[in-house]
Amino acid sequence: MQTIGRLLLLVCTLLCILTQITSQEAGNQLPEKYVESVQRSTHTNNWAVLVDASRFWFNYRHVANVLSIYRSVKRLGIPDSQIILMLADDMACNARNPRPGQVYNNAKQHINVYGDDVEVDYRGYEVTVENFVRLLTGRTQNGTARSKKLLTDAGSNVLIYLTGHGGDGFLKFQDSEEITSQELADAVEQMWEKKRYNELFFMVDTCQAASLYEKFTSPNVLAVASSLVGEDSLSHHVDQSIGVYMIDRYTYYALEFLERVQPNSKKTMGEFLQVCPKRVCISTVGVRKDLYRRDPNKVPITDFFGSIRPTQISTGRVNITLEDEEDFINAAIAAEEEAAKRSTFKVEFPSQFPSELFK
Amino acid sequence: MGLLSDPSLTPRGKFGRTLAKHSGKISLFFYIAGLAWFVCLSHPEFSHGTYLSENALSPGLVDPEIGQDSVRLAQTLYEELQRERTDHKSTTPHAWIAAKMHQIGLETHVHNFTLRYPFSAGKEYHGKNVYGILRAPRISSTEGVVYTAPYRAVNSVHTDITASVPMLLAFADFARKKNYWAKDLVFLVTEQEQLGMHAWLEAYHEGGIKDSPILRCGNLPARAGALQAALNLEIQDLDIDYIDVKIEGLNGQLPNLDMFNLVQRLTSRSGLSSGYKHTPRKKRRSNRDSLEDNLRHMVEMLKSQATGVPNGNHGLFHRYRIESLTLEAVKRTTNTNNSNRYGTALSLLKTVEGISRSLNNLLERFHQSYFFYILVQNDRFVSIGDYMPCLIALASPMFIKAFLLWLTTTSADDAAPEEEDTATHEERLPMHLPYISVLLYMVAALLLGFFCNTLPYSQHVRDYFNSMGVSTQWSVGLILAAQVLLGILLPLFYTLPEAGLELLHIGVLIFTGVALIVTGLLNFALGFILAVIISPVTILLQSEHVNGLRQKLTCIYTFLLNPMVVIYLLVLWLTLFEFPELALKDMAVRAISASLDAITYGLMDSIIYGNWLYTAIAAIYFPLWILYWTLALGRKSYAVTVDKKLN
Amino acid sequence: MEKRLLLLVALGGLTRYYLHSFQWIGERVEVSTPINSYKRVQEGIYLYENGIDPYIGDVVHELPIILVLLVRIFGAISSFVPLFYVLVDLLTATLLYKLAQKFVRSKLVEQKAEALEFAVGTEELQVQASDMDVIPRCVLLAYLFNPLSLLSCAGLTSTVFSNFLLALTLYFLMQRHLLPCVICLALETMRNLYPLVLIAPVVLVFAQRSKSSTTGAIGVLALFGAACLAITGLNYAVIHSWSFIDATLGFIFFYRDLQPNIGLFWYFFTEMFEHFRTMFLITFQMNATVLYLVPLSLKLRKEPLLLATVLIALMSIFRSYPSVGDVSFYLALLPLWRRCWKFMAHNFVVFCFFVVTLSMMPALWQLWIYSGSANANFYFGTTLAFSTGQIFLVTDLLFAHVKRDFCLRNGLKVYIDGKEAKIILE
Repeated sequence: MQTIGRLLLLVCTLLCILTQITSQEAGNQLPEKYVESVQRSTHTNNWAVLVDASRFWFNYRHVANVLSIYRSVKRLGIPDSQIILMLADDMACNARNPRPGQVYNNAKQHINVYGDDVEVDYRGYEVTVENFVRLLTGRTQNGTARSKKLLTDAGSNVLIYLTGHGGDGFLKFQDSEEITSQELADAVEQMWEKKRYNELFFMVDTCQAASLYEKFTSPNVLAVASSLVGEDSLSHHVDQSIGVYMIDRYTYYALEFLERVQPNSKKTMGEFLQVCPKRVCISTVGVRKDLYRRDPNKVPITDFFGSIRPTQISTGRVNITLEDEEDFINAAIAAEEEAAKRSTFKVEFPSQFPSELFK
Repeated sequence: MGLLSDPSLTPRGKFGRTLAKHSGKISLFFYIAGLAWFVCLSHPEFSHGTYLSENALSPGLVDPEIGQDSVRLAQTLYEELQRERTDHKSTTPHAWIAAKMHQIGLETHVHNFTLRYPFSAGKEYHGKNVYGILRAPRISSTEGVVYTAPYRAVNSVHTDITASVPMLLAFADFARKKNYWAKDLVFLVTEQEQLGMHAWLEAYHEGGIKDSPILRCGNLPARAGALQAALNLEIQDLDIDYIDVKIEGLNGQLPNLDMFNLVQRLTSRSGLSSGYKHTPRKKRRSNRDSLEDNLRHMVEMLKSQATGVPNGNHGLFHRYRIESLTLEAVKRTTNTNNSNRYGTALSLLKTVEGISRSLNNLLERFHQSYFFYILVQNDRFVSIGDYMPCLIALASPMFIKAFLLWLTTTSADDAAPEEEDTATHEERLPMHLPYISVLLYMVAALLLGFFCNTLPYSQHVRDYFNSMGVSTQWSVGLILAAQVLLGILLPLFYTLPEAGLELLHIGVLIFTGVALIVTGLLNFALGFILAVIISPVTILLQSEHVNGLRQKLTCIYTFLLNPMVVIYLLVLWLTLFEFPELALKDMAVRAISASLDAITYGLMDSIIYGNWLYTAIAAIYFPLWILYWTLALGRKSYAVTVDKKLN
Repeated sequence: MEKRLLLLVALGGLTRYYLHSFQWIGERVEVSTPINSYKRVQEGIYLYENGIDPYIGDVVHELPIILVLLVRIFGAISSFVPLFYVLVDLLTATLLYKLAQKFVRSKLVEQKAEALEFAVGTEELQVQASDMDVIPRCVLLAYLFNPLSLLSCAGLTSTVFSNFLLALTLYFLMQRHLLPCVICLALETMRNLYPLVLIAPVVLVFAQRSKSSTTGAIGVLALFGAACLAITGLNYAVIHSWSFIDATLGFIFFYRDLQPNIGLFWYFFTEMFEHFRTMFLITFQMNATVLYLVPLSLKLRKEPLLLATVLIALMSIFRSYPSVGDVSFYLALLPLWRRCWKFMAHNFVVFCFFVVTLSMMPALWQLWIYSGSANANFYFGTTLAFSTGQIFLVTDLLFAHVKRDFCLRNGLKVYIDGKEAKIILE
C-alpha cells in the first residue's frame, strides 16, 4: 500500500510541476489582465510558525530572533491563536539572566521582546523534529491542544521562520537531533497535498541556511535564507552586561525593515528580499523564487507578515443556485447521524473560512 | 590474514638473527629518534594554537562591572588583616575571616580537621578552614564553583600571600550583589597549605562516608552540589607585577585546556602580564618564542609534573574531576609611580569576575578540550597524539630487543644445524629454558619492592624504631637502605642457571617496556623522564659480546640508577646550587639528611595525599633496578663459566 | 600425587587465600562481571534467606541451586567462604593435572599404534615418555600460578565454579564417564549458556564408542537435553519460580548489563543505535556459539580435547561477560599441546600483547573513571587488543596442530629436487 501511496505522491508531484510549468507558459502568453489576476492576493487568512530550535544560554540570540519576529507579526495583525511559537529553551527565566523575565534583541534594551503577552506554544523539550513535522503536516496526536495545531486551509498564507544551528542540509534541534532539508521538503509537500496552505513564505536564519530550501518542490513557496551553502550566518552584537550575543545579523536587519512596516503600508515582498545586503550581513542572503508564481515585487509584505485579506466589493448580482432546502436539511441530518456513530470523541474545528464555497 | 596463516614450517628466518646482532644499534636509533621527536615538538610546526572548544564559556563577552569600590574594600580589609596578623603570629584569624564572610552575607561555616601524624608516636595537628557559600538566587544548589585562598601565618616559611584573603572577600562582596549566578559560589580560606585544602575536599566528597585514620577530616555542615571548577588565588600584594598561572596537579594531572585558555585569555584581556611558568618581564624579553625558549618551557613543565606533587592548592581538586588552577599574583618589586598603585588589583579583580562569569555559563563539566597536553608557549600546545610517540619510541626498542633476544635464545643452534645432533637440539627448545627459576628471581625482586612499600607503614616497625629513639627520617631511610642492600646482594646470593640470564634479560625488557608505558599513560612526564634515564642501560646491556670497558660502564651506570643513589645525587646537585659556599664534604653530609627528608616527604605524600611517586618507584622501578643490576653484574660471571667450559 | 606437587598446590592455595584479603581485586571489572561477582552472590543469598525471590531485581544471576549450596555453607561456616572458593579452585587444578596425565597416557598408546606412519626425525613432534611427567606438571603450574586465575579466585568470583565444572566435564570426558560428564556440562550450560558448544566434543567422544555413531550421537544429545531439563526442574523445585531462567540465561543472551569488561560486547552495544540491537545481538551470540562449531568439529573430529580447548578459548573471548578467570582456564590447557609449540610462531608476540594490554587496562580505567581525562575509547582499545591477542593465540594453536600433523607424516623438512621446499597455502 505504501508503495502505491508513494507512487501516487510522485505522480501528484509531477502533475503539480507540470501544471505549474504549463501555467507559467500560459501566463507568458496570456493577456495582461490574466497576468494581473495571477498576481492578485488570494489568501483568506494568515498563519505563522516561528521556531527556535536551539537551547543553552549561549544561544540567547536565537530566542531573541524568534521573539522579535513574533513581535513583528503580532504587531502587523496575526493573532496569537494563529501563531505557533516554538522555543527550545527558556532564556527569560534562565538563572544566568541578570534581567529575569525579560529578553532583549538589542544591547540598548529598547524593547523587551518577551513582553507581557507572549504565548509560547511548544517549549523546552517539546521542540522536537517530530513535533515540528507533525505540526506542519497536521498529523498531531489525539488530544493535542488547539493552540498547538496549525489549523490552516487552502486559503492560508503561512510564514515559517526557523532559527538555530544549521549545517549543509540540516538544522539541529535541541543539540540532540536534526531535521534535514529533505524532511522539510516532504513536510511542505504534504501540506500542499492536504491543501494546508495557499502560499508559503519560508525564512531561515542559520548557518548554511540556503541548503534547507534546496529540496522544495511544492508550488507557491517563496524562500529566503540568511546565508548560502558554505557560508556561516553571523551574530550582530553582544550585550556586554549579559555576556551573550543578542541577535543574528540577518534577523536584525529584517526586523529593522519590518519595524517600518505598518498594517496599511505598501511595502512589497520584493523589498523584503533585498534586506541585509552582503556588506552588512557578511553572509549572502539566498532567495528562492522559482516555485512562486507571483512577482514578489508586486506582493504586499502584509500578505505574509500581516493579516490583511483581500476583499472585493461587488455591486452586481451574484447568482448562486442552492440545492433544495429539504435536501439540504436531510443531508445535514444524515451527516450529523454519521458523526454520532463514531465512537471516539473528537473535537473537530471547522475551517476558519469556508473558502471552497467561493471558488 | 597472511600473518596468522603463514604455512611455512620453520618460521624463524635468518633475518631475525642478523637483526639481533644489531639490537644495540636499533635501540640506540630508537632512543635518539625519541629524543629528537621531543626536541622537534618545540617547533611551531608540531604544536597547535590554543582555542576554546567549549562554546558555553564565551569568555570576554561581558564588560567587567567590578569597580574601584571593590579595590578600596580589598585595601581596607588588607589593612585590617595586617592588624589582625600582629595578634596571630602562628595561627589563622578564623574569627575575623568568618565575621567578614558573615558580614558580606555569605552562609559561613567552619571546618575542623585533625591530622594524626603516622610517625613519631602519632602527634596530632588540628586545623580549621573557613568557608562561605553564596547560593545561586534562582536555581537549586546542584552545582558549585570554588574560589579559594590559602592563608599563611606570619611565621610561615613560604612567601607571604596575605593579600589573597582580602581580594577573595572583596570579590565575594561584589558577587553577593549580583543576581545572575547559576551555580553556588563557595569562598574558601584554607590553612596549613595543601593539608587544609585536602582535608576540606575529602570532607566535601567523602565526609560521613569514610574517614581515614591518619587524616580525620570530619564532615561539612553545608555543601554546594557538584563542584564544577575551582580557582585558587595566591596574591602576594595588591600591587601586582605579573601573574603566574599554575596548573600541575596531583600525580601530574592537568586541568582541561579550556580552563587554562579561559584564564589566559581573560588575564591578557584585562591587561595583566600572565602566563604559564611566567617570569618577570626583564628576563623574558631576551629570547621569546625561540625554539630554545619553547623547549625550556616544555622541559620545565615536565619537571614540575614528574614529581606528581601539586604546585598549588588547585592540584588537589583534580582528583575529584574538578578543573582548577592557581593564579599566583607576584608582587611588584620595582618602584613605580604611586598614582596607579592599585590599578593592577582592579585588573585582577576584573579577571576573576570574567572567569567567574564564564564558569557560571558552563552547562556541563569541562570535557571538550584536551586533558593531556604540554604547553609550548602560553598559546601553543602539543596534544597527546603528538607527544606520545616520544615515549613509544623510547619504550618500543625494549620489546623489539626482547623479541630479537627471544629469537636468538630459542633458535641459536639453527645457524649450524648440521654440526649438532638432535639431543642438543632438544635441549635448546624454548620449553627447556629455566623459566621457573627466572620467574622466582623476578618475584623475589618484586617482593623486595613490596616490602619497601609495606614496611614503612607497618605499625610494629614504626613502634620499634620509635622506642629506639630513631627519628622518622632515619627509620625510613634505614628500612629502605636494608632493602637496597638486599637488592644489591641478591645476584651474589643466587646465580641463575645457564641461559637464565638471557631469559631474565627478555623478561626485564618486557617488564620495563610495560612499566614505562603504563607510567607514561598515568603521568607522561614521569614516564618520559624515567624512559630517558633507563633506556641507556638497555642499550648498553649486550647479549653476546662481552667487552670489558662496556661492561664496566654498564655496571657503573646501573649503579648510579639505583633510586636511592639518584635521589642522593639530585639532592646533592640542588645543594650545590643552593649553598655554593659549603665545602664538598659538608655538602655531601648535608645532602644525606636532605635526601632522607625528601624520601620521607615522598612517603608522606603517598600516605596523606595519594601521590603515586613513592609507590611506583618502590614497587616497580626498584625491583626493576635489582634485575638490571643482576644483568649488569651477572654478565661477568656467565662469561667466566663459558670460559671454563671452553677450557 | 607426589609430595612436591602437593606442596605446590598448598602454596597456590596459600597465595590465593592471602590475596583474597585485598578487597579491590573483587571490584575490578576485569575480574568480576555482573554474572560472577561475589557481591551479587551475597545479595542473592541475603534475598533468598529472607524469603524474597532473588531474581526479581536485576542483580542476581546465579543459579538457585548454587545459591542454596552457598547458603548452606554460609550458614555453617560463614568465615570459611573464601576458603571454600580456594579449595574449589585447587580442586580444579588437581583435576586438570589428572586430566593431563590421562591425556598423555592415551596419546602415548595412540601413538604406538600409528608409529609406523611417522616420518624419520620427527621425534620432537611425538609425545615422549618424559611428557608423562612434564605436561601434567606444566598444566598444574599454569593453573595454580597464573596471575589471572589467582586474581579470579582472590576476587571470589563464581568463575571459580565455572572452571571447576568445566574441568570436571573434561576430566570425565577423558575418563569416558558419560553420565557425570553430561551432567556437569548441563549444569555449566545452565549457568553460563556458552558451554553448550562443548556438547560437540562430548558427542564426538561418546558417539565413536557406540555401535552406530548416529544413534550414539542422538543418545548423547538426548541425555544432555534430559540433564538440562532435570537441572531446570531441580532449580524450580528449590525456589518455586521460573524467574531464574530469564535472570541467568536470558540475562546472558540479551546482554542487559553494559558494564565494561574485557570482552567486545559492552562498547559495541553502548554505541549502537537501539533499533539495530536485536540483529547485532544475534550476530554476536552466533559468533560466540555456533559459528565456529561445525567447521572446527569437522576438522578436529579426531582430537576432541583440542576441539574442547579451542571452543573454550573461543567462548571466553566472545562471550558476553568474559572475565580473566575464563581466560586463565584455557591458558592452563595449552601445555597439553606442548608438541605443537614448535610451530607456534606468535607465542612471544601474544605473550607481550597479554602483558601490555592487561597492565594498561587498570591504568586506562583509572584515567577514564577516576581522573575523567581519558574516555571509554581508550579502555575499549585495550580490551580489543587483548581479544585480538587471544584470537592470535587460538589461530596459532590450530595452525600449529595442522602443521605438526603434516610434519609427523612428511618429515620436518620437505625436499623437492634436493632443495628445501617452502609450503604455500592455497
